[in-house]
Amino acid sequence: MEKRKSLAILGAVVLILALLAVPFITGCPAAQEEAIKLGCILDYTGPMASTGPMLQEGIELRLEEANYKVAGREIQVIFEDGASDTAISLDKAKKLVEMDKVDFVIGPPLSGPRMGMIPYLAEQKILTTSIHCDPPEAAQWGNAFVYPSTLEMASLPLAWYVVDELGYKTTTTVGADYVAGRTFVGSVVGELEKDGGTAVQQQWAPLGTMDWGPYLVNMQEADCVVVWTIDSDIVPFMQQYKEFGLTMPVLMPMGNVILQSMIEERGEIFEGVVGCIEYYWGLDTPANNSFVAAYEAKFGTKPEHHQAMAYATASMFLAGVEKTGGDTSFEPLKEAILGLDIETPSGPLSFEPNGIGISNWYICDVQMIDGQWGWHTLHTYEQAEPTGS
Amino acid sequence: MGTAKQKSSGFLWQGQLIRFAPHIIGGVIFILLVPFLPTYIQSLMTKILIFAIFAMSLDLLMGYAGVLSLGHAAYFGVAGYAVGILMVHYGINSFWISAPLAILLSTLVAAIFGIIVLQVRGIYCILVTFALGQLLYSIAMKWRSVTNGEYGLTGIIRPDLGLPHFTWHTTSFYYFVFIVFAICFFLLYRLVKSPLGLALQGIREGESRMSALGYNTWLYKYIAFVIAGMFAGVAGVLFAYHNGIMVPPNLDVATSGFVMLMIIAGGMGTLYGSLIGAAVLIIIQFYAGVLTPERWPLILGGAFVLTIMYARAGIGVYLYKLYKKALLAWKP
Amino acid sequence: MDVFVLNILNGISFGALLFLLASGFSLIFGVMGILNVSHGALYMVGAYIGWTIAVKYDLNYWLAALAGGVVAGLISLAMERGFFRKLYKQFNEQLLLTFGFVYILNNLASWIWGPLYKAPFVAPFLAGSFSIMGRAYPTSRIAIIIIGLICVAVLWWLQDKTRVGAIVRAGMDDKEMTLGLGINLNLVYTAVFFLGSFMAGFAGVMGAQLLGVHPEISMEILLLALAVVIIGGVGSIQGALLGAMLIGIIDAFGKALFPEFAMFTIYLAMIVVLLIKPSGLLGRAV
Repeated sequence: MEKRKSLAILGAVVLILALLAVPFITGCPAAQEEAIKLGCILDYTGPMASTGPMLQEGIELRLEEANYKVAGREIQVIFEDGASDTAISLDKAKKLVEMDKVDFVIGPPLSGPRMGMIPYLAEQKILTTSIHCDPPEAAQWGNAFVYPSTLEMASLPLAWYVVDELGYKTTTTVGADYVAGRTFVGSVVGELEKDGGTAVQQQWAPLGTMDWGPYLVNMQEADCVVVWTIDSDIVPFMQQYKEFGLTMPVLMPMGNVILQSMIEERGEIFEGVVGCIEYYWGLDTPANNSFVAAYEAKFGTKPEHHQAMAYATASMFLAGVEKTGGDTSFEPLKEAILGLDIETPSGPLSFEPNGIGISNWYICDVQMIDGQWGWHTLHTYEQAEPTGS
Repeated sequence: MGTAKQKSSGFLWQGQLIRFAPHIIGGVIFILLVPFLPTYIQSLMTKILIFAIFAMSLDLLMGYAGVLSLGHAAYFGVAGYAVGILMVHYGINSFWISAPLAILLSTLVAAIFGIIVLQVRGIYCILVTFALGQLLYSIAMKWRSVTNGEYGLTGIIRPDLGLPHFTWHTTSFYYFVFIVFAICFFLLYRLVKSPLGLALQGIREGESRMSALGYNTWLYKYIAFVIAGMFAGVAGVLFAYHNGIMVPPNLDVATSGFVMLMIIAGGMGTLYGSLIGAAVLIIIQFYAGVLTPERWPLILGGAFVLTIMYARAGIGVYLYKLYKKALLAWKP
Repeated sequence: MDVFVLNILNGISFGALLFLLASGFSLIFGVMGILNVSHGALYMVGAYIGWTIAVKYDLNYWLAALAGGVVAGLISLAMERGFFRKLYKQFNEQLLLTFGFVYILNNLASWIWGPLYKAPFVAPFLAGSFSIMGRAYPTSRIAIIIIGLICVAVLWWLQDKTRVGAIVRAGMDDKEMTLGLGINLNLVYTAVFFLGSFMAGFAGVMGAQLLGVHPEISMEILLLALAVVIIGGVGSIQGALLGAMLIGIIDAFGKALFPEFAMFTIYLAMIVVLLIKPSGLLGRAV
């Protein structure tokens, strides 16, 4: 190699590194101190990749409706990919807080990554909310809102319904073998047992089980089947359930795992399934009707629970800032949000003093209505709180 | 002939500059510049150094000893969880107690697994290590009372060093990790240059030949396996402190695969390749993600393909060769 | 008794699917020395192509299955031409390259077909169930068993009874000698690679009857293929069949008898086999 070339390479390397380093050293631009920054860590890649775009739609819809303004201040929203990964979500949280200087963090949807970043956010005095349920432990650091409520609450109403209304005494269960699965199925079985019933059989399937043959073949007779697993596993389960000719009524805690679009497409395999859900587009309230209309006008389809819940988290944030008159500092905003009682697409929302949300829960079954398959409300549990807690 | 200066070093001053350029640049970036960078960047650099230690440990095994492993995260995760369990369940916060115990545990696991893995050779090692790693992942998921399942073991705080009036900041933790990295690098450097290291490379090149020469090849590979597990444990301990939480995926094939990609992309059989590979992958994963949250895997995958096309031995090796060529230009 | 029979059928049908997806992987690995981590991604691509043809455009199901296989095969040919030629037995480079392809293919699939899961789809005449010993059993699973058997037969015949098969086996035993005999090994290898990848894509459509498809399925399928190869051994149809059937049966009965340990059974089985015979039950000794 020529001498000149070698020096040129050295010079180029140093120059590139210097150019890269300078912006970081001089610090990030303190652009628009006036603006409120909302940080959202969603999953655009990884196992939860399907949720990212939907959650973003919900948040953006709400912000658009507010014209990206609240209490006289502009709102800037930044979306980052948490990649369904705890460490990456934490890295992005640090970037949002330290570089973008966000005032509030929404997401990520999975509880694992949330538990990883809540302590850090608490240290940095940043409030955050979940989009789907979190374990109650999330509230212990004092900066997290558990929205719509705790994981137990996503299944308890179904348990109450089984005992109060359906009167089933025995059940056979199939659950995803991890904490969420065990919690959801476990709470229904627990309530049943309190009422004198029994679970004649409990089967646990590893995450990612797509072939349910063994479980279905070995399933024993009972009054009902309580099943819960993630969305990509539940559809094969229901399809294979029908294929194996099983007819026991199927109950699903946290029924929103079955997406609306899937019900519309393959409703016949879900017919009769009774689930506890946090939202579906057919809920007949003024708040929801206007939300669904706005969503349909913009996107041309009905919204899933992902968009609705995300929309509500943005509402929660905006309502809080309205209440503080534009003050996004930790204590005032926290007080404001804790004191909220607002209407969201999924019903009224308020909070317990520790940040755990109080929402409505709907027991619905899948039926054909006006030529389309969809959820149909059987019973509403208003502003439900776990019994005895 | 030549001046005294040329004779002693063999290069002109520009050559000296080039010769020490990597060291100077590295020193500036990793030592001098750090306090002036934003804390989230310091945090990212901490992560790079932690994974560099992890990658070097795997490189010892794969790059030097030639034993393929797709389950190296097992030792990383075991150490991390050990630190976490000691802290969260037993309240043991002292670095000088937890860290050695955790590293001891990961070394022990490596010692046990090594016996199983080294029953086979070549590509089958990948299969065995994969199975063992996934077994540990399943245990972490199921043993909820201890590991808290997929929600992860939270509440892991920076350790107590026993120093009076000392509190941790992002920057102090970075330098702590840097010191550990430097120590590990130094130890591994001495190791690979030692007779043991040379023997390992000989085994990688041709095991039957080494065997014919009288070497107990199994023993050498086993030692490498256990040492690799130990250093992976060091990385795991630091990772637990850095992240504050341990989750089962930290043990699974995705993590093992990712660090394997680091050493392949960076350059196997070279310690500096691990650092470069770790830096490249973590930086791309982060910044491509910021640039395009949905499509960044295309960029990462594309980077791998480009590396194979243009820098097959690894980016680190490619840069090293460039460096050597630039140096030679100044040889009188 | 009927439960026992149904469990066996489950084991065999799952095993048949595993055979379809793993036979190609095993062949490519054993014959060509290529560890194609993107094999699962090829399965996924096949399933998506099949979905597009059978569900989106509502065309003939078997056309969809063939198309799935062909597209997967073509993609793999492009990979082989462009890259694998130069990487024979260089596992590390193969790993980096094929992982790169997996990232790219997964993300492209998510981009083209959307990140949402696609429900299982079957050929119209395969929908519904049989009655076996008084209980319903899905027709599609029986179909998978039959198709699996046909493929086993065809591939076995190819491997053991044809000249091409002999060349392939000779190449595995002693590559230099085979080349020395003037045989165009490269052409044969390319054909094997195409066939193996075709099987992956075809398996994708077959598997979609049970499992559907989504952009993350690549790695799950790859892990299953690895399990088959670990247990059955690399490079032979018989090995792939044995491994696939063993896993299928162990999985079916493991879940029935030890439901708490379902997550472990496959990994434990793998480790047991690896301790007894490290190169797999029917693999060539390493």
